Parts: sequence; C-alpha cells; structure tokens
Amino acid sequence: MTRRVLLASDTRGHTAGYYVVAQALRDAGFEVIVTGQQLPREIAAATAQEDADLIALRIMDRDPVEVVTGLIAEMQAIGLDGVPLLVGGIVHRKDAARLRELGVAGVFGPGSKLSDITDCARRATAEESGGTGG
Amino acid sequence: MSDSRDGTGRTPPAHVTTSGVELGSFYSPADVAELDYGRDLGNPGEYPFTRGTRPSGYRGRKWTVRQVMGLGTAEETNERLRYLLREGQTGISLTGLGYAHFESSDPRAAGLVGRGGVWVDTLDDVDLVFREVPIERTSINQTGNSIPAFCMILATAKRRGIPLADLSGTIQNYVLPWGEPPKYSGNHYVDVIEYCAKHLPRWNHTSISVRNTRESGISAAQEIAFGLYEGWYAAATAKERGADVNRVGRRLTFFLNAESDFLEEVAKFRAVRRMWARIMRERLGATDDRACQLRFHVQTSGVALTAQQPLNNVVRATLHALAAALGGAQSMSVNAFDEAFTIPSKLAQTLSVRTQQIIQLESGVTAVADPLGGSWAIEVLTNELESRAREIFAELGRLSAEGAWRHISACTRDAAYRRQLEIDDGRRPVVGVNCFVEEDEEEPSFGPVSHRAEPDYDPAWREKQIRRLERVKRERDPGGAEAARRRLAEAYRLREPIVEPTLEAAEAYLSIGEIVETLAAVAGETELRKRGGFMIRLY
Repeated sequence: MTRRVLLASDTRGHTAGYYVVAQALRDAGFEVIVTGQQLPREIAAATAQEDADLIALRIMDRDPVEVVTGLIAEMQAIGLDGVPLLVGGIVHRKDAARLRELGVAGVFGPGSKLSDITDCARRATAEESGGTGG
Repeated sequence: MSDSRDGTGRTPPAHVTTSGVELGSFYSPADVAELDYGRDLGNPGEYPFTRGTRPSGYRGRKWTVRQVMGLGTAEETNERLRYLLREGQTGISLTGLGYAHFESSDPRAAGLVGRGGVWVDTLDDVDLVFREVPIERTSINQTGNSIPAFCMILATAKRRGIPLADLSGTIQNYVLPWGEPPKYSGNHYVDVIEYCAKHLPRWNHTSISVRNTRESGISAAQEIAFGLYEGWYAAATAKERGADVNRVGRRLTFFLNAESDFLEEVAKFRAVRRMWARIMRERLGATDDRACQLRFHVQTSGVALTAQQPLNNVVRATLHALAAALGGAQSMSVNAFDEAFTIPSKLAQTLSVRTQQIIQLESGVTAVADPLGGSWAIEVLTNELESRAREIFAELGRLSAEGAWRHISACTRDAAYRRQLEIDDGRRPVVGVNCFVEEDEEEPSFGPVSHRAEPDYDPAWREKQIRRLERVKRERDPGGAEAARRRLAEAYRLREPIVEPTLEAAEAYLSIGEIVETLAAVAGETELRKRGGFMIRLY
C-alpha cells in the first residue's frame, strides 16, 4: 500500500531542500502531501485529515525543539501519537539530540544523502508506531 | 574550443562546468579570433564594461566588506554590528528586517524571535540596531524588501538629523509582475523605485537577487539569464510608469553568487556585465553610460558549504571570494564556515571579514583591474556563457512575465534535485561528503579556539521584545498613531504611492504588524501580497 507523507515547513522561502526531499520521497514510492508553511496545530490537523502515515517537517528558522514539542502536544491532543516524525533542515547538533529524545525518528541536516532520508521514512512507516529510532 | 587531447592521443577526463561547457585542456589565440577588443571588452571603466566599471579597478576603492548579519533582538544585533565594524567591516548588511508581518506577541512568532535575522517591531528597534553606528557614512544593505523596515531606517536617519539625500544603501527590492500596464498603480515595487529616485539619490532602489536562485543549484548561465531578465523587467516596468531609464539604471544593482567552479565564475561576472550594458543601451535606450554599468554585491555560496569537516568551508569560501574579487564585485559577504549547521558564530563571522581583508591587503590581486582578462580560457568562457545565457534570456522573453517567473521557479526545483542526486551518487565530488570522508566524524573540531562562547538563540528574547513593544505603544502619541494609520489605509485604498504614508506610520511608532494589518484590512492579504513590499509570504 502506498504510504502517505505529510511534508510541512516551519516558514516559507528557502525551499530548495524542501522540494528536493519531496521529489526524493515521491521517487521512493511515497505519496507526498506538500502543505508548505504550517503551525504545529495546522500540521496535526492536516495529518489527521490526510490520514498521513508519516510527518516530515522542514525546520529552517524556528526553534526546532519548540516546534517539535508543540507539534507532539497537538498530536497527542487529537490522538495521533503513533504517527512518526522526521525533521530536516538546519538543526544544531544539541537540538538534534533533544529531538531524538522527544521521539523524532530521524533528523537530517545538510550533507544528508537522499537515500538515507527515504530509508528512514520506509523504516518509520513499516513500524507499528512511530516511537524512537533512526 | 580547443581540442581536448593532451598530445598523447588520449582524451583526459574532461571538466564540464555548471553551464555545460566542456573545458579544453588548453586554449590559444585561435579560440578568440572573433573577439574585438573595443566592441566586446573595452578597457576597465569603458562600455560594455566587460572588464569592470572603474578604470582603476580596486585601486581607487576596494569592495565593501559587508557581512550579512542579524541575530536576536535589536540589542544583540547592534552589539555584533559594532563589533564587526570595529574589526574592519566597511558596510552593513542586515537580515531579518521586516521578515515577519506580525508582532512579536503574535502566536505565529513562537520560536521565531531572533532566529534567522534580527527581530524588529517598531522604529524604536531599528533606532537601537543602529545605536552608535555612523549610518551617515556607512552604507546599509537591507536584506528583503520590507517597505515598513525600509521606512524605519529612513526615520532613524531623520531623527538624527541626517538628510535622506546623504544616506547610502540598498533595498533588496525587485519588480514582480502585478498591476495593469502602463501605470501599474499600486505596484509597491515600483513605488520604491520612484521614491528613491526622488529622495534618495545614493540609495540602490533595486537589487536583483538572483544569488538566492543560484543557490538552488542552477547553472552560471541560468544565473546570468534569470538575473538579466529580472533586471530588464524592473527597469522596463519603471520606464513604462514614466521613470527616466538613465536615473533608474544608475541605482539598479545585482546580487550575485560566487560558486565553486572557479574559472566559470570569473567569466560569469564579466559576461553578465557585458550583457547588461547592451540590454540597457540597446533595449531600454539608456544614454548615460553609468546607467549601463552592472554593479553587484556577492554573497558567497552557502549551498556549497558542508556540515561535514566544516573547516573545509573556510577554503571553499576563500576560493569563492577570490573569484568575486577577480570578477570585480563592488561589495561582498563571505559565508561563515559554520552556517551549514548553526546560526553563524562570532568566530566564523570574524574569519569571513579576515578572508576579505587578506585578499584585499595581502594577495595583490586588487592592484590590477580584471587581471584575468585576456586569458584565452577566460575570454572563451565569457563568450560561451554569454551565448548560453542569451538563449535562456530569449526563451524567457517569449513567455508572459508571469510565465517567465513560473519557468524560473520550475528550473530551480529541477536543478536542486539533480544537484543532490549528483552529490549522492558521486558524480559531483564534494570533499568530505562523498569522497575523503572521515569515518566516525563526531563533533567538528576547531582546534584550540572555543567555537561559540555566546548563545545562538535564547527563548527569552521574545519576552524581552514583547515588553519593549508594549512600552513603545504606551509611550507613543495615540492620536498621531491613529491619524497615521488612517492616512496609510486611505493611500492604499486609492493606490497612491505607498512609501510616504508608510514612513509617516513608522514615525508614529506603528509596528510592522500594525502596518500590515491596516493594509490587509482594506483588501485582504492576497491583494497585499500581490502588490508587494510587505513580505507577508515568509512566515
């Protein structure tokens, strides 16, 4: 069954990497829902509405820990705890470690290979629930 | 092009530039036999300015050292700015001004205040950004085209008694297709051009920011062609609305990239200057040679920098900066080596300033204008890039303006994906990423230097900013603020030029959030987005 990825973004602009990842996920067989810039509450709502199997979130500008903490809270509030989450963008190492502690399945910065991102997306959607990993 | 055999009968591995030019192993006079010195090159300072805009090159005046910077709130940015100026930076480039179209107290500002540039709400903030900064003699580049932020810079100068005519700087304004020709009433991009032409003779009203387009992975030839198209469109639109093309041309500047394909980059700067001069003279009818001179700021490549082995980025950025110097840049920002993984640190920004100082003062390359001019290889590449860019430019010209912008957008997405695939499969070598990888690379090592003493982000900045905004609102004259707000809404409704009433609103201490809200209340956010200049698309 085709897996659905909701690809969201913290801000607009500087979208080169965002669309590159969208295309890579498509070429890897995912159905990609490109939402563009959304706040955590909107991402959670779109995930429910689109019945997405995975959220891939690009973070360039906002504080990654604040965004992910907010998103997890919004997801829990509407019972989406099991949907795994990947993060890509400019994320400082110390923040990346914190995101993994929060349960993010993979954090990908510049220098990542596209196949590593799509492999991680495959593993995350193959599992029963999101949880930790990556 | 020269035969690529090396004399032994074997064909050595070719280098194909980003624009698809397969380099010969050497070039000779036969490769440039068609070149006419007077027509195609001219001396530095002579039309078509292939060899540069000034006869004395950098001897009369070095390029402006202008690191792009903006962090935290006004205080943090002011402190870093004064530090960089003390360390020898000669110009200012601020990022973040007016990027958000809402106040710091808005829920949309969560996790955003002070990241990705300086946060400003009102004139009070901009005034503080420039505290003890001699803006009457230091040029300011405003990243982005926020008209409220631009007006707050002007208002800061007015408060200090500096005549607007003395201010020098650049607003990253450009012209997007909007409005009915020939008047384009309500097109705010053109409003900025007209306002600057009237009141700010030393302010660059347009900055064709094709640098950021290049960052997606397009070729040097595409960078040239897309930039020329956008530049042509800006000048042509202003001309149709009645502006004097000579006047417009003198203050229209370009914002270009410097990438890793060194010879091609040097040739790119030369080719784009030659092509722009001809477009201005032949297509737009400019008669003043100064209006035909392409002047440009370079921000060296960010996309070429790597998170792995980050000190390698110092070497890359030096090569990028050297290409820009040999290409005759008027102004430069060298990207910080740590920017692939963090908000640039003080150490990295200082090194970027030093990189430029070392090229300017120690390398000797600034003594001779266009020192690579006349190299057969460089002249061939300049010609090749011109002919490729001319084809792309002609292709854009066959589309509607809206269609051209869509086409550029599609090209960039495609290029970015291809670039990444080439890196992933090793066709495009990137040292430390797909070759000479250091296994088990953990934390980047910076030797004995403490990389970052200061925080890169403090969530408390937002609380501080909200308190300052509240204070400004308490202390401002409520009647004056309300009058300015009404006048602004009325001007917008009537599609009058928008800069003057926005300046009044800034001086009345309305926040950027309030200004945008006032305009959006008249005809909606979509309309305001189309008219441009209020940056309501970013967050």
